[in-house]
Parts: sequence; C-alpha cells; structure tokens
Amino acid sequence: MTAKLSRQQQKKALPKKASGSNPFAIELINLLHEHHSFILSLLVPGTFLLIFFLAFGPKTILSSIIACLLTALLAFLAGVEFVSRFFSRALRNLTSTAKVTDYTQQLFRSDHVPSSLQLVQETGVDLLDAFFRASNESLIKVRNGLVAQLEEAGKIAERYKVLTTNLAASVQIRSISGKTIFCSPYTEVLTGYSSDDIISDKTKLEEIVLSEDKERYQRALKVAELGEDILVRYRILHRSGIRLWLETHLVPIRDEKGTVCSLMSVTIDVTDTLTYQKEVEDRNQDLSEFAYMVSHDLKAPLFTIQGMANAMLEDHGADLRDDAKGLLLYIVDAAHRLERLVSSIIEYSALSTAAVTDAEINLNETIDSVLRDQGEFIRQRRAFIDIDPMLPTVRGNELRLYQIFSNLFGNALKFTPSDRSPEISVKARWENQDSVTIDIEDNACGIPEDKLKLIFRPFARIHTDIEGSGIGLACVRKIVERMGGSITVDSRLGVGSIFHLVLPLSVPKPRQVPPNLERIYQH
Amino acid sequence: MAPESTVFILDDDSAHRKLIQRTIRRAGFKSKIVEASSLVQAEQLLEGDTQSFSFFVVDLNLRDGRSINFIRSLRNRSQHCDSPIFVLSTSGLESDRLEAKNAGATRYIVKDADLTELATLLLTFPNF
Repeated sequence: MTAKLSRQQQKKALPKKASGSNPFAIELINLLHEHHSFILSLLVPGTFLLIFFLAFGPKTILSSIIACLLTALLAFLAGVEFVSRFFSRALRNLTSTAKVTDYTQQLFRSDHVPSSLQLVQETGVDLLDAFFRASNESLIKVRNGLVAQLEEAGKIAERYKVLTTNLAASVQIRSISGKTIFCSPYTEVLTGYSSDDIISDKTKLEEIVLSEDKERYQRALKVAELGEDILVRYRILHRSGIRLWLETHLVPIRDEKGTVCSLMSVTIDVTDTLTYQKEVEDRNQDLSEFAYMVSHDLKAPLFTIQGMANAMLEDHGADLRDDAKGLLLYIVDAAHRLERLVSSIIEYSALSTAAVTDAEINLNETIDSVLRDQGEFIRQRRAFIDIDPMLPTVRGNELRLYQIFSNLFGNALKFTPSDRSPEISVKARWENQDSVTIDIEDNACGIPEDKLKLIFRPFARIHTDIEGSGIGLACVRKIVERMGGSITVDSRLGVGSIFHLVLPLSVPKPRQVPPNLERIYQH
Repeated sequence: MAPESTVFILDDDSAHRKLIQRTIRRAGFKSKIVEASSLVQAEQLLEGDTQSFSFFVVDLNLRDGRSINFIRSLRNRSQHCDSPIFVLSTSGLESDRLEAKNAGATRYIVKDADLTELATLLLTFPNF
C-alpha cells in the first residue's frame, strides 16, 4: 500500500505555477473563486434584474451588448463553479486513502491545473485525509476485533475437535429426519464402521442394533425427538461380529423458537460394566439360593425335633417326671426360636429373588389394612394413631408395602415403654415430582446414635430384651430398595424415632426417563 | 369311617413319616398306611396296583427330586384322579404352593411343629 502523504509533504509536492500563465488572470480567477459565493449572491440577482430590464426595457444596441456581456460573465462563473465541484466529487468518490493520495499527487504534479483548483483540492484532500484516517482507524479496529474473534472461535473449535477426537465415547449429531450430521471418530471403535459410512448411510446405526433391542432404541429416539433427555442401553453387533452393550444419552437440541431441530447423542461401551454387574448379581443370586437351601435343609431336622418333643410331651407327658418335662420344654422353646430364625433367613433371601411387580397403590388403603390386622394389639396398647388422610398413590407392590408398614407399626407398638401409650403419626412430604417422602414418627424407646447405622442390617438386634428376629427392618430396607425407594431414620433415645420412607410416585414427572427405558438390562 | 381305607404317605424322612402317621391316627383314622421313602419307591408301589387310596400325603422336596411329576401322574390314573392329595413341605414359598396346586394337589400344607393344619384338615373331613 502506498503510504499517505502528510499535509506538508503534499504541499512540497505541489507543482510550481507555470511560467507562461497570466498572473493577473489567475489572481482574478482565484479571487472570483474564493469569493464566488458572495459575488454570486450579489451579482446573480442584480444581473438577472439588469438582463430582464435590458431585454424587456427600451431597446438599444448598447443595452443588448451589455446584456450579452453580463450573460457571458454569468456563464464563466458557472463554469468555474462546475469545474471546482466536479473535481471535488471525483476526489470524494475515491474509497482508498492510498488511491486518493496517489491521485492527488498526480493531480498536483500536473502543470495544467489552475492554482484555484489546487487550493480547492488541497482543502479537499485535508478533509478527505482526516476522514479516511478516521475511517481507516475504525476499520482497523473492527478488523482486529474480527480477527481476535476468529482466533478465539478457532481455538474453541480446536478444543472441541481434540475433545471429540480423543473422548472414549461416540459423539453424534443427527437431524430429526434421521440423517447423521456429525459423527466423532470414536464411533468407528464402537461400531467398526467409519464416520463416513455412518454419515452416508442414515440407517447404518439402526441396522446394527440387535433386533431384540431395536424397539427400545427407536422408542428412546422418539422420546428425545419429543424433547426429553433419555438414557438407553441396547446391544449392537460390531462389524467384527462381537456383541456389545452400548449406553446412549440422547439430548434434544432446540432452535431459537424452542423446536427440537436435531439430537445429540453420547454413546459409551458399557459391556464390561454390565458383565461385572451381571457377575455380581449372579453371585448374589447364588448366595441367596444357598441361604434359602441351607435354611430349608435346617427346617427339616428342626421339624423333627419340634414334632418329636411335642409328641413326647403329649403322648408320655404323664409318665415323665417334672424335671424331665422341664428339659423337654427347653428343647421345644429352643426349636421354636430356631424355627423363627430360619424362617426369617428364608424370608430375607426370598426378597432378593422374588420379582417385584409394579402397580399403583393407594397408601391410605394399605395402611388401613395394616391397622385392621393389628387392631387387637393397638387396642391393647391404647395406641393413638394419626394418619394423613391424603397420602399419595405410589408405584410398588401391595404385599410388600403392607410388609413395610406392618413392620414399622409393629416395632413402634412393641418398643414403646409400657408406662406410656404408643403414638404413631404418618405424614407425606413432596420434595420433588418423582417421589414422596413418608414420615412415620413414633414415641417408642428410640435408638442409640451409635446403633442407627446397624438397625437395617439383618440380625442386628438393638433391644435384645424384647422378642424379635432381628430381620424386620432389614427386610423393610430390602423391599424399599427393590421398589426404587430408600429408608432412613432419625431417633432420640428415650423419646422416639422418625422413619423417612422415600417411595416412587405412580405418575412420574414428565422429564423422567420412562421406567421401561431406563437402565434396562436384559440378557 | 371305612375300615378298609388306605392312606399313602411319601416322605424321605422317617421321623416325618412317623409324625404324619401319628397325626392321622390321632385324627381317628384306623386306615392302613402305605409308606414310601422316595419317588422311585412310590412309583414301584403304585405300578400295576389298582387299589384306590383315601388320600395321599406327599412331601414336596425329596432326595431323588421334587414330587410335582408324581402328583401329575397320580391325576392321570383313573383310580386316583379324584383322591385328595395333601402336599407337605417345609417351604412356605408362594411359587412352591402354586406349582403344587397346578400339578393337581388338593391342599398345600407347611410343616409346622405339631402338624396343626394337617390335623385340623383331617378332622374336618369325616368321610376319610
């Protein structure tokens, strides 16, 4: 780019006046041009009046000549104005400072340009120079800003590229029509097919999903297209022929109007995790079955001990001495306790294997049923029971829910000291849209703080002076967890306890992943 | 009570068979009692036999297998198709109860200390 000339340089660059020109004429033109506005403002109306008078007044040769001269003078002045304006406009139209400078230099180097024009151009160049200087600075600022933004965008793009390239997950973006728009390189590791294969063939991904899981996969896509985040697990057939478990988190992407325009998915390989999980489940299952079988094998000899001891007492009790009968009663009592213990183990291990069927259960109805069955005990203890009449409908198993409340109420009645009447209250709290917390409060003997963590463990008996199997609260926790809930307790020794039972609601909030699509794991 | 009636007991534990027998006798039955200690022995005793039994008391889990198929086979024999079959077990599992019922058992009884349920049942069925 040609460097701009400063005003002084421009002045130095001005051509000297031509030696052959008439100084008087030039001065006159300069004077006329310098003051042409003033002259015009006086001269034009007067001249027009004079011409009008001479043309339409008394006709003489002299008046005609004077009118012609005046007309010529007007024409000359108009010509000077026109030439001046023409060059100014030409200069103004230039868009580059460099071009202007060059052009101006060329113009001023010309020996044919009148000095009046040089003055006009000098002023114009000054103005234009200032204008273009200011414009140029603004343009440079804008340009620098844009360059910085571009550099930042480039860095972000590079970061995303590094992320998507090196992430051990397949990141994809697909349009609502099902066409894959973007596909990160790790997709090839997960599927065996290149990004190009997947982008060019919009059915490729769905084709490799195993037929058993295809419906679940398609339903998840539909849910995401309707605007919900969703997590889905499914099996695919890798190009190499092996089967893999994948977990895809589908996230809808919305346009500025809020309409879902595409889906982003992040997919990871969960085969190892699920295999390990399956192994743990299998071991737990084996353990439960083992406990169940052992318990059953224990029951058979136990039945014999109990049966024979009872038979001895019934058939030969009269022949036995009192001390012999007393010894037999010890056997019967111990066998009875052992039988309860074995039954508890069976019950607890059966909870691990029994299928939990889901249904909508009205908690008020379930609790009414428990209170009816424990009515005699409640009356004996003169207990006061306060149940929230507006308890919600939850998702769970009716029998299991009955067991939960039966256990908690039974404990509250059993562990309330005899010098006071048991008080039990049941209230509901809503902390989110997915679940409800049921608080079961009692005024029983309470639990020591250091034992609070133990009470949900099997056979952890806190109050050994009161009869119990030690399995009740362990069963409650197992049931609640299998229903997708949780149970905790706050307690003050000698004052009472509050059990906080969190249960899934029957109608989940809209954003929740549908149960049949969430963490589905089938072999 | 018909003196010629016969009762069939299948249980692999001799003590249990003795306790069952005692319960039957205490319920007033003078019936002849046929005992089997395994599924194989039970099949042998019934094979070719045209005798009918007043009722069967069958343990569910035996050393040589579960008695479900034995119960089904009884129901397929014309002389036993209407005989009461009481299944006795130490298992209180609902699935066991259902399986026995579906195979054709008349009643599923959990073995308790003094076989109370069996005793009560026998007392309420005077025809036996």
